[in-house]
Amino acid sequence: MKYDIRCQVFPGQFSSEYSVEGQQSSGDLFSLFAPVGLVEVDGVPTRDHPVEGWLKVQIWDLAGSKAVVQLPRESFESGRFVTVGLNQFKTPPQTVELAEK
Amino acid sequence: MILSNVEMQRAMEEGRLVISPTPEPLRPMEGRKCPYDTHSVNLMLGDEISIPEPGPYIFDLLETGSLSMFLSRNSRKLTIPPEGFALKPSQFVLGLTLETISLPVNHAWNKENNTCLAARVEGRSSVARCGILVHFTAPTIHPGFEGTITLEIINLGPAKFMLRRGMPIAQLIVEEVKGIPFERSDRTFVGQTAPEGRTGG
Repeated sequence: MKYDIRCQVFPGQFSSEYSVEGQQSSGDLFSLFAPVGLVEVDGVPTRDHPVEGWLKVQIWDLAGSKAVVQLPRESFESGRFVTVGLNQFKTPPQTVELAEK
Repeated sequence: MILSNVEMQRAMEEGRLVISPTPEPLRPMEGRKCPYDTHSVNLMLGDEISIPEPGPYIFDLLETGSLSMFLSRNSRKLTIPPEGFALKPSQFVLGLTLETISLPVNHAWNKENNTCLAARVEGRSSVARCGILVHFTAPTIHPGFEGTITLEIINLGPAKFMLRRGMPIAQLIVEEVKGIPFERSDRTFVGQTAPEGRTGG
């Protein structure tokens, strides 16, 4: 896992997970259950009081002000891959590609 | 191709398949129940279940956003007590396997052989005979997965069924996948970090 994107964090259905909600570049929301180890939270979320957090994702592609990222688990709305704005990143990735593997 | 118990254990030795804690004993032995069948290994029920709460709500998967939050808000977590949890007829709960499963895609062996592993979680006949389904629509564990497996448990039988921590409740079947799926981008970016460290930027 490489980058952190902004998310709202709620308790999960199990203690080992969080319910996570993020925003796609289209404005649509996506949500998923993510293992607690892949979410950095600013506080303890409760049912009625979500907290801000950061979800670890992997970048699939970068183009302009957007990035296609791979989520750690499938989202309900958009599967494993979603497109998010670079402003959603904790540390925005640079758009300059370093190298082809 | 489905892996035999021997091939499954070989994959575990090589790190292509990680089951933690390792189901033991690896071979039948006196006084201990071997969790391996010919081409499967038993998985145990973890400590916690999630119980959906009834209500007037409707699940609408086409409604965008907050679906995971909605599910969480309408269910409650319960640590299975030492005496067990009696699952009533028609009752539905979610459970987790005690074991963590990992199917790393980028293992050197996989690259050399252009293959990787996937798995399926299945019920056990002894549990099924009591009317219990432990999964009913989502058995697939994809290459690259790492974590515990969520079980969708429902009692279709006429009597209560006792769920206990650590009980063998499901079985894992491991399969070889032809080729390596696109699991991660084949491009690297400035500032990108990998498990082994920063790649640049």
